[in-house]
Formats: sequence, C-alpha cells, structure tokens
Amino acid sequence: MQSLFNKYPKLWRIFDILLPFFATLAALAVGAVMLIFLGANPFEAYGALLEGAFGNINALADTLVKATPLLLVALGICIAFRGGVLNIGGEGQLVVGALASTLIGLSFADAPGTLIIPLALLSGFLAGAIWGAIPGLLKAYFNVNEILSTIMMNAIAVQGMNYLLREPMIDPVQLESASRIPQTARLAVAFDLPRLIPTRLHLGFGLAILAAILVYIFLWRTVIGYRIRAVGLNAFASRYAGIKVSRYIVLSMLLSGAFAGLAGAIQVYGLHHRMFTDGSATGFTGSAGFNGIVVALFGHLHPLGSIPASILFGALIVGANKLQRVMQVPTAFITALNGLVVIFVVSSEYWRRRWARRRETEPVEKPPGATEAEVAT
Amino acid sequence: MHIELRDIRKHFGPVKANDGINLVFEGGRIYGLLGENGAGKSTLMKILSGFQPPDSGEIVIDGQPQRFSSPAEALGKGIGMLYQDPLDIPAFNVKDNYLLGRDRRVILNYKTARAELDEITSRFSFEIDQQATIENLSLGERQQLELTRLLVGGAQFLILDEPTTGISADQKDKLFNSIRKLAWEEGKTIILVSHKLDEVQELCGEAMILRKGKMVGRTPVPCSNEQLVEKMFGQIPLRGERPVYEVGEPVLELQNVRIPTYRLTVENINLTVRAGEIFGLAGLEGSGQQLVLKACAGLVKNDQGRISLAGQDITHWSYQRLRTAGIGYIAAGRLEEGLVAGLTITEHLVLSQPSHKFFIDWASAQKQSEARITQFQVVGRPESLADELSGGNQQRLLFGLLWESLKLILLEHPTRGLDVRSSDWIWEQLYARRNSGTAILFMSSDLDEIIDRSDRIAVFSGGKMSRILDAKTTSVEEVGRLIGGQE
Repeated sequence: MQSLFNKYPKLWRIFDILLPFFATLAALAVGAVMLIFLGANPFEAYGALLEGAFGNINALADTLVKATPLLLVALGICIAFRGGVLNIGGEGQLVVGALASTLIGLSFADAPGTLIIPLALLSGFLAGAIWGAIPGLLKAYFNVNEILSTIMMNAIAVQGMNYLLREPMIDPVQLESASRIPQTARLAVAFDLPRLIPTRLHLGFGLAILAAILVYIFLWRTVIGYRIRAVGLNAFASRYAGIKVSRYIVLSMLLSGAFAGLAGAIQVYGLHHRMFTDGSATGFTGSAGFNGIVVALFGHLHPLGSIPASILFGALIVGANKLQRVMQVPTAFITALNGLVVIFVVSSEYWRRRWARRRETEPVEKPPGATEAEVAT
Repeated sequence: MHIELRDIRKHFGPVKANDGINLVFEGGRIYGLLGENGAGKSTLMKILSGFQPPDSGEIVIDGQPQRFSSPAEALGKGIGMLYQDPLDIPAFNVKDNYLLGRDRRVILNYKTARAELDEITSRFSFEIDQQATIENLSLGERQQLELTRLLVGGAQFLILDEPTTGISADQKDKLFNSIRKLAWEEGKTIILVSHKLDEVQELCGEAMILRKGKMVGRTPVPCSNEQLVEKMFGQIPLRGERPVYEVGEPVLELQNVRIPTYRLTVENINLTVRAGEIFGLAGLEGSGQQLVLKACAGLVKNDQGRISLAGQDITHWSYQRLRTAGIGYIAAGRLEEGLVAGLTITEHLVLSQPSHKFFIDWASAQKQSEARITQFQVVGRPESLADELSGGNQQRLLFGLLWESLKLILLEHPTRGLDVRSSDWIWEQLYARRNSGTAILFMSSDLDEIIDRSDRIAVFSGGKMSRILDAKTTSVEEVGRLIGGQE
C-alpha cells in the first residue's frame, strides 16, 4: 500500500480525504455482523437507516437539525485542537450557553424577537466563552491539565443546570403540579428562530454554516488565527518569535467554549424553545458536546470539513431512530453503532498519521528537524 | 555595532556555567567561539540572545546597557540567533513560517512577505521555494529561511550555533559565502559557535576559547589546530604510572560497523576491547563516539557490519537482551536516561533487578537498598528520590545499580560534573571491575581523563575513527591533531 502511495501522490490525497468514509463503512460492516446476530437483515436495516436520514424532506430536515449543534461544537474543537489544547468540555459549555440564553428569554418575555434573539445568541456565546476560558487560564498560567479541568467543568455545569431548573428557573406550572418536571416555561413564540422551510429546520443550521466559513477565514486568513495554529504546532518556536503563548492558549479555549455555548443557545431558540434536564448532561445536549469532537476529527480538524462530517453524524442519529422502529432492534445497537463509528474513525486517524509520516521519511534521506537521539529511537 | 559583555556570570546550582566573562565584539567581523561541551558556550550565547538572563553582569550595545526579557526583544535590539535545530513549524509552508512573529496586522500580509522574501533571497542567492512546506526542505534551506527572518527582523549581530551540522558541503559553502558577505559588505557582526576547528580556521578572523566557564584565550586565526586544542583542553600532564592489567580474551569486537543517522554517518569502525582493558573514545562532541557506544548497547542500529560479545554475534540485539548477556550501560543523561525522577533509591533497585515474581518484596528491597547505599557511599536514604540526589550521588547510585558480574561496561562521560573526590571514587570502582575481568569502553570530553585512565584510545572526528593509540606512548599533541581531523 505504502509503495503505491509513493508512486502516485495524488492517490494518497484522495485516499487521505476519503479515509473517514472508509472507516465509517468498516464500522457499518461490523455493525452488519451484529445485526445478523440480532436476527435482522443488515441490508434492510441500513436501508431503513438511509431512508430515516434522507428519505424525505422531513427526514433530511431532521438530519440537518441534529447536525447543527454538532457542527458548532466541532468548530470550537477545531480551534482548540489547532491551538494545541484539548477541549473535552463541550457538554458543559453547551449547557451554560443554553442556560444563559434561556435566562435572557425568560427575563425579557415581552421584548421584540429581533432584539432578544441576537442578544440571546450572544449571551450563549459569551457564557460558553467564559466556561472555556477558565480551563484555558488554568492551563496557561498554572499548568493544570485541560482535559481534567474541562471534564470537571462539565460536571459543575450539569449540576448547576439541575439546580437552576429544579428551583429558580422552573416553569411556574410545574411548580404547582405534583410531578415538578425540571424544565423552564416555554419561551415566547416571538423568540423562535425562523424556519428555513416548512419543516423543523431552523435558521440555526444556516448560522452554523456561516460560522464554519468565518472560522475557516479566521484560522487561515487572520493573524490571530495563524498564531493560534503556530502555537499549536510549535509553542517553543512561537514563543521565540515573540508570540505570547499563554494568551493564545486562553484564546483558543475561550473561542472553543464560545462556539459550544452558541450551540446551546441555538438548541434552545431553534429546537426546544425551553430548557429541560433529566439529571444528566445528555438529556439536554444529546451528547453533542462529545460527538462534536468526533465530528471535528472526522473533518480533519478543518472547519469546512466539519460540515459534511456533522451531516453524516446527524444522519446516523436520525436514521438510527428509524432503524430501531422498523427493524425492532434494541436501542443499545444504535449506541454500539455510534461507538463503532467513533472507534474506527479515531483509529483511522492514527493510521493516516503513520502512513503520512512514513511517506515523508521514505523518499528523502532524512526526517527534517530530527535530532540524533530521535533517529536513534 | 559595538557589543560588550561585562563580567557575565551564570550559575546552575553549584555549576558555574559562565564565570565572569568579558568580551568585546566589533562590527563587520567574524568571530569563532570555541570550547568543549560544558565549557559555557551555549549558556553565554543564550544570555546574549535573550533566551535567559545572566545572574550578574551586563550586555552593553553601543554604550547602552541592555536587558532582554525574550529573544524577540533581543532581536529588536539587533541580536539574532540561528539555532542548530531551526525554530520553525514543519507543517507550515515557507511564507507562513516567515510571517511567524512578524506580522502584526489583522489579515495576514502575504504580499509584503513575498516581496521581502524575494529581495533577501536574491541578495544572498538563496533558493527557497515559497510554496513548499518546511517538511520538504533540507536543513540547509531551513537555515536560509531562518537567516532571512533574522535579517528582515533587523539583526545586526548574528549568532550561528553549529550551523554546518547536518548540511551538505555545497550548502555549507553557500552559507559561508553569505556569512562573509554579511560581515564584509554589510558590516554585520557574526559569531560562529562551533567545535569544528577547520570551519573556524576557514571562516573566522578571531577565535575566542572558553573552558569551564571562563575565557581562556583570544587568538587571531588561521593558526595551528594544536594551539586551539591546547587552549580548549588546557595543559595535560602525561602520567607514566598506570595500573598494569592482564590482557584477556577479546570481549567486544566491532567489524566494519556503519551507523547511519540523519546528521552523521559513522563508518568503518573496527575495534576490539579485551577483558580487563579500559578503552577510551576521544573526540569533540558529536563526532560519532557516542553513536558507537549506543550501538554497542543496542540503543541505535548499525546497518552494516558485525558486533560481537565474547565471540557471540550480538548485532541488532535489543538493549534488554544485551543486559542479560552481560553489558552494563551508564548514559550521560543521568536523570534523562539513567534514573527515573520521582522514584526512590529502593524503587530503582527493584527496577534494575531481573525479577520473575509477581509481587515485590519491599522488605528485602529496603534491606538491599540500605546495603548498596553504604557500599557505594551514596548520600541519601532508601526513600530518597533520585532527583533529590546531587550529581555525584546520582552517579554513585547508577554504579550501585549495575549488575554484579558484567562482561562489558559502556560509559558516557563517567565523571562529567563531578568533583575530584567523586571522580576518583568512580574510577576506583571501574578499576575493581576491570580487575575482575570486565572490559570497559568509555567516552569523555575530558582529554585528561581519556589519556590518564585508558589503556588504549581511539579518536573520532567527523564520524571517522582514527588509528588506535596506546595511551602509554601517545602525546597530547598527537591526540589534539587527531581531534582536529588531521592524521
């Protein structure tokens, strides 16, 4: 395989881009084996999945609705990972973004939508930014591992949400009733994000696509974005060149959190029109904060690559529901299938890097920048 | 540009890396800064380039005392340093790298970058493809790019740290021509940090020599290599008396060994070390002696030739297998390769022993550890962490961890950074080992140690091994010539 790539460099590029799709196919193949054991016909099952995701206009709209938060979180992940920090706190950032925007909507119920919608989205963006900046500051100035701190910040955000939705922010109707479902009142209809077509598809999807383009321009055309990438690739050389590395670490985390927070606000204003909790994070987020990481990796940590990646994962989620209904396979299968896709995609990334490295070292006589010791190992 | 260093001092713990250095540099000249590893060259240059501040002393530029808090600030004052490993970002292309730390606008200014790059590269006839990513450039081209960046950044004073390591002869000539042009036509000051004497002779007008943190001489070059070597290593009294040893069977044999690495290829190594013999490898740092040692330890691979231990072919054996076969190895990096920072002495002992049990017998390990501490005179307790020990005690601990019976001991800089007492103690241990029939192969940058302790000596220069010298009959002049690469 390796020699083939060396002979045809173009082939390598195509393979490189298509690798996540091959990985997905491989995951589906393993899933097919599981389906056979469950007594279902894999072809029928995957047919149902495809139909569920893309079969009609409503299905397609649902796919895109599911893709929206995934894409926004993935954009933040692109910024963080490009800046050399690992943001695992998408869930928490999404939750605080949703909470902040809900608070705005509940507080100014009589204000016009044209004012409140931008204000709410902005507040979600800012709340996420703050939630992301805290681990960023801890990392940059106290050398606290950001993986740990972002996970802890997730826990804090979820418990904060549980408290707020059970007591201060709870729907007054629920307060009266015996069930006391932890959710807020429905936001004013005037605040609903406009529908794009007469389906559930809302403006949020358009905003996410716009954001992807802006993040692309930011990372590759502006000085700040360029420095974030430089710091992520070689913090030492960047410091030498006079870049204040700590600041850019904080900035990447801050922006990363901001996009997750925006995703939260859009979920509230575009889809749910209220905030609710089942006690865990996933009840509201649908694990978008974690799945966004997979989407970003799937899209090669590129904002534009994240667009098709988010649609694919949105399709998997929506299609899976249909699959479950039609084929009567247990819900656990869908979770397993999602997990398989993640495992295959992440490990394909590993192989891609290995092949890429070998490709670079083979034709030239030496790996640039390697020291004697590195060559020795 | 006139730069003066006044009484620069820098200590790292008890080590005086720079011990009151005074230097003056005039514009338009090329200086060579010479000195063995640990002489304080890098420390001095890092101070001058703003990487680290001195403990005391000052840098005076054109009469103005300066303090730099970062390399970027030093470059702002006109001092730029070209590092041995270029400080660039391999995944970026040339233009992006060029902009690193330079562009302060909002949108990246590729147009100006292209123009500036074109101007400088044509002035010095550099050939850099602006679209290429760094990964596809040779080391020489990456240097040219760095140099361009420094020049555009306003460098009037350029420090080049071992710039010719790993670049082709053709690129070296090109680099030297650009350096001459910079100094002679544009009036810039150049410092060439090197331990390649020939290059200093070829390029520089004056050589400055550091030894053990002090300036020990300035001399106009070209001059004789022996003169430079003598200043670098100091006067070495030859000692006639040395313990007699019984020549045993060959223990380690290298036949036509070739070790290719990215920077240096060592070729045609043929040597035999016999039981009870101490064999010293001399040469300037990075001349290939360390690669040979590491190849014998199984830590780097030779692609040609044969290595055998007591008649058995051990070529390409793993380090673990060689250990079991009776090879002990003590690396130069005590805390990097030798010991584990954060583990106690007892834990190191357990780690070093071959064990086939599932549970660790801590009680007996503790007892053994106490015994070793007494036997090897380590100042520490069984529960002391390795990184809390002083350098000398770390080295004692490393000796304490060597297995009982060994066929061969390999050592890198066995006494580097140690005081006289510790050094003598180390060598007593090694003599005791050799008396019980162990062969010893070591490298050292201390010429005194090489000549004083070895039975036979091989000198490395640029990856080539000299003829083998008998320590009894050789002279410092002879070793000096071989170090300088002359036969």
